Amino acid sequence: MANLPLIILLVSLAVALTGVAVWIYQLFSRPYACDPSPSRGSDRLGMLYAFTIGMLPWKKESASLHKIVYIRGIFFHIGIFAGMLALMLSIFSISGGTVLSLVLSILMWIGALAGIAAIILRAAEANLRGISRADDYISPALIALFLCMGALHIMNIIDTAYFYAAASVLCLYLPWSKVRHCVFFFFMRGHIGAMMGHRGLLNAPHGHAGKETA
Amino acid sequence: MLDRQLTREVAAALDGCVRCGLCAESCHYYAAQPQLQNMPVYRGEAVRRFFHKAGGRARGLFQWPVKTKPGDTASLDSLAEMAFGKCTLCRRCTVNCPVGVDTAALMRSARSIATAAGKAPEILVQLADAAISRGESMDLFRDMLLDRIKELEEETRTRINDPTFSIPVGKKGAEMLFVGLSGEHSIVPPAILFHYAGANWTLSLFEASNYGTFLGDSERSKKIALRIINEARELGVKEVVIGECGHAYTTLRWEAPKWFKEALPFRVRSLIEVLADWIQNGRLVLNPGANPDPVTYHDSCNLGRNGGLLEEPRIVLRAAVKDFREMYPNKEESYCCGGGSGMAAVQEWQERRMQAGLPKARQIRATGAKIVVASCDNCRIQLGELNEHYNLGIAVTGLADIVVNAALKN
Repeated sequence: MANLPLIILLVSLAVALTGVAVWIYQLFSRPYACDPSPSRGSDRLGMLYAFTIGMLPWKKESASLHKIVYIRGIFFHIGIFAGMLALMLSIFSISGGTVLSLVLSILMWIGALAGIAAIILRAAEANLRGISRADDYISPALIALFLCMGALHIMNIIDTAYFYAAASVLCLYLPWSKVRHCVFFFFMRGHIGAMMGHRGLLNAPHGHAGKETA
Repeated sequence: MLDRQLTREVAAALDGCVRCGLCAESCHYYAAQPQLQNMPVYRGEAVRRFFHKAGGRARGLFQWPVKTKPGDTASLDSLAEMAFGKCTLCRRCTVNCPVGVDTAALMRSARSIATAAGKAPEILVQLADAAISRGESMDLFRDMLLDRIKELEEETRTRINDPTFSIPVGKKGAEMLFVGLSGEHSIVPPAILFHYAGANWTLSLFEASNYGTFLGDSERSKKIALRIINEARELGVKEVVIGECGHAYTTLRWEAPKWFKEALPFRVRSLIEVLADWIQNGRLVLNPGANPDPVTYHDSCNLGRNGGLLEEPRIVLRAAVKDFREMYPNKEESYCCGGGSGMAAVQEWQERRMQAGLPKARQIRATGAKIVVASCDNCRIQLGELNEHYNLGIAVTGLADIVVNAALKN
């Protein structure tokens, strides 16, 4: 039964992946109107822009107005990717070496703190509280727990089973939580980017969002 | 009906929002009044709840938001009120969303649902239906229109002191079909510029406005657009040039090909693009000294952020005026004036429009400009009212008017 946590994790992962696949299927089974209008620019460049330069904080007024929130989000997501890598390394019993372990644990700690900060910031701001669902608190809490367990596991403070247990809970919850935005993010940003590129919004020097007068 | 509204974009926007709230300040309603109800995410949530309650979507585990009563925003009445009266579909929140949630697409689908349920503002429905009737019985209007065009020709010949000036209508073999708005102000200045540039053009019998778009009603929109498409086909023109109207340009240039599932058999351009081209290739010669007062430009959301015409109006203005000043933020980050997407047509929302236009009024005041150019009739109406409401001390004018002031006859 030593492998029980791993088995539970693998089942949970399968549930998560199935959930993601269902979301992708549901999304792509919806009608989509192709745009036959003659382009004023490039759809592909627009998509590229949306996933690169368009993501830079100073390119968005919303990000430049909320630098702390935006940077918190970036660290949170970096932590999640570090956690996923740590989980894969553990499942496949691959030793990443001391340096990688140290880097991963630091990133996961930062990610966990960013997750806790997300909960605090949401709870502290009246308008954010007003638009929140229970899931908005549960999701970052579960991710923070997963990252903490992962970091502690990498530092050999706790057993693998705790890390797998936290990962399993997260995986089982994932298809029903806002974590599923990971599916929609790529479609939505790609779609908006392609539209901006198609309509020639990238042909002109970009609008000035810096000198706010409103 | 609900299922038809659930396109891939709408489905993604329904399920992809993480409710980070970063979109708040990007909305001119919120910038004017920082309240929960003015956050784009709040409106998006209302549409989400409506779809969930109506059974259009698989439910998530936790759907309830705090501070909203069950059934309040989910009811059709409040959904319609929100979609038509609390959002101008300007897409500024979409451009500023880190995830790319197209809240404007959600609100447009809410408008479609409200229109289908008979909950759309009556004036918008009437304007759309009037345009369709006009297309179906043009013979009743043609003679009246032609008589008025003759009078305009005479008046303009005297105004510009040129007996050769004409406004051709229904001219076969013309290269360009110009579609103005309902109003002489949208026909005479472009006609003068076409005359100066020696264009081979003809005037459309119809107006460019498409209120079906505001209603989110693709059937009405298609009927209204088809009037112009059929006219252009019959005349065999190479291109259709849309007058100074934001939504009319976006509708025919970008949306109509999607509805008809094919590219239109002619080129579609805005008057702004044509003028920018002519100025750049020397076909239209301007004297900026004729417009010495400081001028600023308001980016219509439909022409700019949604239409892609960001640089062209600036090319025109830099050539036509002596002192051009930018508002900040501008171009794709420009604030909506508050009158877009049919808001300007609904009189009972005047106070709300003035409130929502506060960020724009502040922007205008900060430029110190005496003249505000807007290349969209809805924006011009709204900016004119903002001028009075906030005592801005400005004149609001169209791009073609400014260019006519500066144009020298070749």
